[in-house]
Amino acid sequence: MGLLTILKKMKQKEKEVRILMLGLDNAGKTTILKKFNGEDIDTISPTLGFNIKTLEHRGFKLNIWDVGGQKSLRSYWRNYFESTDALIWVVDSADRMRLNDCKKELHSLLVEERLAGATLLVFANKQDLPGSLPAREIREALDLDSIKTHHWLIQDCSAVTGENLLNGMDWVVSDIASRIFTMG
Amino acid sequence: MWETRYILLVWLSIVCLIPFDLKRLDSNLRQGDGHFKARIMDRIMAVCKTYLLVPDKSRDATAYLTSKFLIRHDVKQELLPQALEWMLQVLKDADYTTGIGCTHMCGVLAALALLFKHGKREDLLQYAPVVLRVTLDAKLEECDSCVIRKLVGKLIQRLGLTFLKFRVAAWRYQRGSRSLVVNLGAGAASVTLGAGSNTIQAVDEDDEIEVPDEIEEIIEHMLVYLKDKETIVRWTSAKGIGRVTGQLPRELADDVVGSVLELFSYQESDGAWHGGCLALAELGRRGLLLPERLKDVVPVIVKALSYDEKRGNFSVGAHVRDAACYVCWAFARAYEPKEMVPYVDQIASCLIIASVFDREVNVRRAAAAAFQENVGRQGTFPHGIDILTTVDYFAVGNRARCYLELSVFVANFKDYTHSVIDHLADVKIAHWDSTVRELSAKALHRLTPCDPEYMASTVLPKLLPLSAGSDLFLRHGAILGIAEIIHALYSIAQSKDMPLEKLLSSEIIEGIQSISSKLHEEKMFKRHGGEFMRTSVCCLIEKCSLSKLPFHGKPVIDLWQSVIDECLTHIETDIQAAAVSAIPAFFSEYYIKPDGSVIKEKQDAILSTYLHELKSSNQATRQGHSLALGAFPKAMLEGNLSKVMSGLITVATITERDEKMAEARRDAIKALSSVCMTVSVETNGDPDRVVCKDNVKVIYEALLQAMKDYTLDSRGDIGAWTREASMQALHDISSLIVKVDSSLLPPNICKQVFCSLVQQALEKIDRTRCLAGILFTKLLYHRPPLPYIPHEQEVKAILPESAVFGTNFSAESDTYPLFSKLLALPEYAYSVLLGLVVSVGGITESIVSTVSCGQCWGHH
Repeated sequence: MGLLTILKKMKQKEKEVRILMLGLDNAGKTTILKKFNGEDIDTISPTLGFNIKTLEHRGFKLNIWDVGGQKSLRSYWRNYFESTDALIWVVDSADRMRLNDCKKELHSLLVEERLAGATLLVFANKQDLPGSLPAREIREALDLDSIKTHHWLIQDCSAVTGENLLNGMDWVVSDIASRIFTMG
Repeated sequence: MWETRYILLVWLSIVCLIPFDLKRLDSNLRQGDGHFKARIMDRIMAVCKTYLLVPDKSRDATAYLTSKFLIRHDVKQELLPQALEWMLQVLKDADYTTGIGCTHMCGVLAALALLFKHGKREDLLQYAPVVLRVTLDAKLEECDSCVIRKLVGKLIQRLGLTFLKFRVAAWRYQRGSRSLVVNLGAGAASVTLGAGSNTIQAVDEDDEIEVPDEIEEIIEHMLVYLKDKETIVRWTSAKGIGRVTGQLPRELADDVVGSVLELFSYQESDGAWHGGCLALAELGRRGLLLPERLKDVVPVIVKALSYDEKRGNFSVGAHVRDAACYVCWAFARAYEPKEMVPYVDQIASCLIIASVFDREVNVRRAAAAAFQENVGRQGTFPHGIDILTTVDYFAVGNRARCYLELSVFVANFKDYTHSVIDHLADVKIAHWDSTVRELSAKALHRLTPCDPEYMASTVLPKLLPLSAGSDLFLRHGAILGIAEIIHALYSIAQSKDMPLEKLLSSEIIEGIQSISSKLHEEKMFKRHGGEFMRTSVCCLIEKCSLSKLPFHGKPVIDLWQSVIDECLTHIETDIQAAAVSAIPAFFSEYYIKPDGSVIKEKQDAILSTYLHELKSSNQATRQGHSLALGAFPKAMLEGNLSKVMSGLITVATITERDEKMAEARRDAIKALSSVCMTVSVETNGDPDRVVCKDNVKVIYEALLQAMKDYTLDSRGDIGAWTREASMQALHDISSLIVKVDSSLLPPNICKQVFCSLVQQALEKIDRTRCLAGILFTKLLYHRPPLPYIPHEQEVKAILPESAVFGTNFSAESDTYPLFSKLLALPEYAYSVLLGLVVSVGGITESIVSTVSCGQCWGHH
């Protein structure tokens, strides 16, 4: 029994999951993470670095990776210990100009082998802003219905008010749980 | 069928969960013999007693069943005491040196461990002392079975937890609030969803906790198991120490941490270090290692990250280093960035060094992952993101790439330059694996531009005395390192257009000059490990020559020459190769005057020795000197080409006396070819200087003759080596000649070249056939073209240029049908037949069947 086995067992027993938080710049990824973490969201600048936060929810340990602003994501897809269980794709619902870019990025990400099978949650963020598109329209704009390789859900939310963030996370946790921890 | 029993037992354990009294299921009817049927409770107990003692897998299910059964409300009152008594009796009676004793103990220990895990504290507390006593008295830590030791580890930690009242240690280190629901609580409406999170209140006063005397004994034993020789036992114990420590008052818990830290001494085994790392990670993960202790823990982890204990020509410690990475990973998750700040630089350097330079891929990956986790959670690691996106899981997979590319990338960050260089020069250069030492030396070469000054004034003076030290590995690595650094410094000096002496002090140059003589005086070349000394000194000779060190005419040159000469007669081809590789640079620098002319005495002396050695009765000597002649620079061959060629051709020719020396013939052919490449072609030149019309015929005759070498010995068709070398030579030399003057190649030579290649392309050895196929097509479509190709049009139709490059010439099904078509062309017919006949007589079924099938023969 090597360490790899030990850690795999630990992941099972302690119900740890790994979630990657991605999206175009200025979509609000770090704001969401800070909100999750109960931190002050008044001062947020573009994420140059990367943040990992661990949170407990419904008996699961969620390790959320915010890797915004990175040129290459390859390094984050897997490492020695963990594989990625879920993707949270954050969309700026008020940014109509870049919805097409957003769609392209998302679809090119989903063909990545290392992310195969991961649960996909799309946060249609910034619903508090006037003129933001509702989830229904974002769903069409991103052509979500064509995605057959991943379980997905789109959830409108606002990182600033915190509205619907929990609903989205509830779905992510229950979807992962149904895939991985069926015996748990 | 144990599977059936296993499932039935598991099923029974589920039945045990029924909430009402088992008595209700008992029948009160008399059986046929007039007795009542046995009670359900007793029947289940009987099953437990029976199957706890069997040697198969169903014992595991029974252990589970027993634990679940005995903690039932009704059973624990009636049967628990006697069941425990029975189990303890089994433990006392069993003899673990016998197979059956082991089996019995495993069953009972597993059942007890699960019982104390699942049972309620207040039910079991009264029995805990006696169970502990019996278990410890059995002295199972000396038992050979690691399963038993693991189970004891599990049992005593559960006993420990039973002795202590459950609580969440108030003194535990916590990093912020971690509940998503609570954190979102202020904004979200759905707070009510929050369930299952930790709601047990911490007990504030440590003083109120009673710690029974047994705890100390238990922890003592757990610490013994923590250094067990088996990983599973150490891991169980590490988890146990984590769990028990969580229930202790702060003072005692800190004592445990202290005891774990004592394991990290070089008197302890590698197992102790590994166990210690696992325990530290467990304690850290649970918040039981308080930040105040980090100042003691971090130095230990730093040592563990480079733990490597030599055991003869291998070492142990990869698991320790791997576990140390796990500690770093766990600490990244456990502490607030502000707690880690004082240690960040140290941990960051160590992790980077491990992820780039560890010998084992799993440790490199573990270290890279730990680094990533630290960057993500601590955020304070210097240049963290740049490094982690380059030095990632995928990149660290290839060791050569790590040493030669990633190291340079990392060292370009000023924070890491010196720690990277120092690690290579202090540690890896003395590694037990020669590949690692060689890679380290090459890495030092590449790292020199990062800080030439440091290399010249700090690293070289440090390495110089080591080059004649007592440790063989260190000597080897140090000499290689010095050679590589000198060469790198020379390149830097060149690019800046300044003399090397500006970078290197005269003491250093003096020191380098004396390395070889010191080794010679100490007879290091003759002693154990002399091979390493020879190869490293050959490397030193090569690099010093390339760096033009001012040793011209000094005694060291003669010493070097004798080292090279000795290597050329060595039986190991690696050592010969090292010498051969040093020759061009060495001769060019020290035997050729600045005007390009050669020092005549040297040339004559060396040539006459080498040509004489070609006639040696020792095959290795012939090989070494052939290859050496092949490596001579042009000036050294000047005026003596005919002698050299005829010497090599003599080696390449089969005679009765040296029939089995196929390797020597192969190397002579290779050398002949490279001599031709060195001197190049002049149509009307002097046959003692260049390839010309007067010696072309001799060369080709020798090569074509070598194509007929079909020598066999116990290793099989060893002549194939000669034939392959000859094919390559035919291709290379022909290619060289046609670029100068294709009229030098008469049609009959061309014909023979093509025919012999075709014959080889129908050979039975895949490797030979593949080479022949590739070379044939290369010559067929050579630019500029060869002067004569038999049946050029037809051959090109059969092997069109576009198709050729998609053909897999090593697959018989591809090549035979293609080349056997040439049977229809008169000039090739004989060679095709010859090739096919040799192959059909072969022993490989797939070849015989492809060759015999109609595709090859039928339609002609």
